[in-house]
Amino acid sequence: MSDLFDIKLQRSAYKHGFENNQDLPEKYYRFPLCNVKLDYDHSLQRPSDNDYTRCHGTKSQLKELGHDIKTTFDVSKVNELQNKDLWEWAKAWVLKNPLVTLNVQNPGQQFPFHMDGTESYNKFIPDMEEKRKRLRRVFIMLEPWSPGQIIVLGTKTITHWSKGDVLWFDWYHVPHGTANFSRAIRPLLQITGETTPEFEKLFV
Amino acid sequence: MFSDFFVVVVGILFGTMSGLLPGIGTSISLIISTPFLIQLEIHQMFLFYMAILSTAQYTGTIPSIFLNIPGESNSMPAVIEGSKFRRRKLSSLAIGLCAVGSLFGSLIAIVLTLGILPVAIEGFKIFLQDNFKILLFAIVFGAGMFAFNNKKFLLNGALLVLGYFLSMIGIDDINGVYRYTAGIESLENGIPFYPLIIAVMVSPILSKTIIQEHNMIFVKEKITSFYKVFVFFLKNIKSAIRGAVIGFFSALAPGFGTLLSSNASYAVESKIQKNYPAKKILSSETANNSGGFALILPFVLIGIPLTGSEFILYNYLVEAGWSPFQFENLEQNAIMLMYNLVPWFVFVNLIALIIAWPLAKTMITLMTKMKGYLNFFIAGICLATTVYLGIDNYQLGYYLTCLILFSIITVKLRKINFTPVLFSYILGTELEFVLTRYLTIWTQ
Repeated sequence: MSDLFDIKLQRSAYKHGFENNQDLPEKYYRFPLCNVKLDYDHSLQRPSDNDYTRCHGTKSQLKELGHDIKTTFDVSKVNELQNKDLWEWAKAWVLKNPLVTLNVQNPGQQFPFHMDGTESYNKFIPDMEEKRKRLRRVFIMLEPWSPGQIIVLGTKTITHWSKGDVLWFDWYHVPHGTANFSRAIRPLLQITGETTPEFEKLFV
Repeated sequence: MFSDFFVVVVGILFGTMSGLLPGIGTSISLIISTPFLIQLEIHQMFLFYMAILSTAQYTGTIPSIFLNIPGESNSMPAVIEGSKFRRRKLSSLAIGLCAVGSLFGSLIAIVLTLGILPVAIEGFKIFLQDNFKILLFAIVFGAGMFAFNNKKFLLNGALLVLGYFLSMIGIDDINGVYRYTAGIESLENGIPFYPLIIAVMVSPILSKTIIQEHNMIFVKEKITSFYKVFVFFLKNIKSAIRGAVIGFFSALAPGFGTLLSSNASYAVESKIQKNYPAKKILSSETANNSGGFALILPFVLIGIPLTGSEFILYNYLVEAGWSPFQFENLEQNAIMLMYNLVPWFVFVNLIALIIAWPLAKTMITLMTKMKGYLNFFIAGICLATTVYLGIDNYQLGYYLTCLILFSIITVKLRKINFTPVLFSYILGTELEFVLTRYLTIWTQ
């Protein structure tokens, strides 16, 4: 029984396809959207701060399954004070007003299927309809893929990425989950921001 | 992290304190043990709770009989009948009788559970399959309306609405928008649980003196031998059986805990045996323990909390990864009950028997010596835990502000029992999800 996930799935245009194991149409994701050059060395990182206070919607969907968000991945803020280099890079990238987190999924961790809420972006765009139109979310892979690391978008499984690959997916419509049963960490940068003409050009 | 044995021993300690010290109920024991509780595995949380609950049923009798004050809210029959024993210098007989009766009640409760469990599982499956959650809310909100504040429906209804409103503050998970935050950033994360339960459960009690001054006068009397107690118990075993059965089924009434168990069996026994204090005290104490076990059954089996303390535990269980949809795990939960909980339940009862019988005088003397430090001890633990959880959630100032604000309200209005607020606060979000989901299905 998962009430909140079911309720959120109702909004998805891909709902029927998801429930019937149909392929995820390509309009809902692009991988790789592009590849970016980004300096990241995990061994130089300080421990994650694991501040999950902004993950409300997903927290509740996990609780329905008896999962705690703290077991899904380690999270760190990326801003002026923390992970400044990554922040400077993300700020200068193609999404406007980016909200950035560094998500490190350790071996054995998993994040079951969920629908994104993007509540954290309410301070810029509070209206859900506006968010659906203007808000974009990407994952930037910070280490090369290791066997056992997967990201699943609907029925599409994403693997074999390279360092710097950018994965875009339609957060509003696509249920997704991740797992890491490799023996290596899987760090990625999650960037949520308003779209810009430069960002849209990447799809051409 | 901790062994089951260690968890049970800590539970027995808290249960001993809970029973011996008037004002410290199971709820407060859970609240002050939060730093320990949140580190436990799910089955250990149940073990811990069961150990507190069972031990308190034994030790609650001690101050009732020796000092004429109820250790717990359900010890009133023991106070009334215990004073008759005290006048005749037979307190140790009453203590022994209650302890043996309590053990008997617990064992009867296990037998009754074994008898009804297969029927109950089938019954749950037939009647609850489709409407499990709706039924859960109906039971809980019914309990909230009827079991508190002398059945003042309007007041209880208002408190339930208040709790539901508090649960709605922050993110609306369904639509992804903030609501009722008045632009205050901290409120975006909702009202934190821990400061709220301290305000509702602890602050009003701390604002009074937890233990009134009592003269520790033990009447010099002959110690009754174990043999004599057993013989006396066997002579009155019919009352114990009646108490155990009445107590078991009365405890299933939502909201009352074992209060109804002890009082119902006491009332029945008083009708049957008007002038036999031994039968009456035995019946009510047996009912207490039998009811104590029955009380946890709906909670363990299908995840329906029935009392304030179960609500507190429910919240911690869900935080620890226990799915609130336990109906789907009915069979596994029955297995956990019989194989993980029952053996420890028997163990706890045996230890509690020793604490509440041969060690009774020692325990109460020890506990009364602690009374001067008790307020500071409880307040200190509650404050330290709030600070710890506030730091852990990056909201220290917010947690402390909530604690102070809510405590001012509940202390000022301490004649009101705010427990219904907790009921709807804890289940509010789930209720919203379930209703929205039903609405979505019906309108499609």
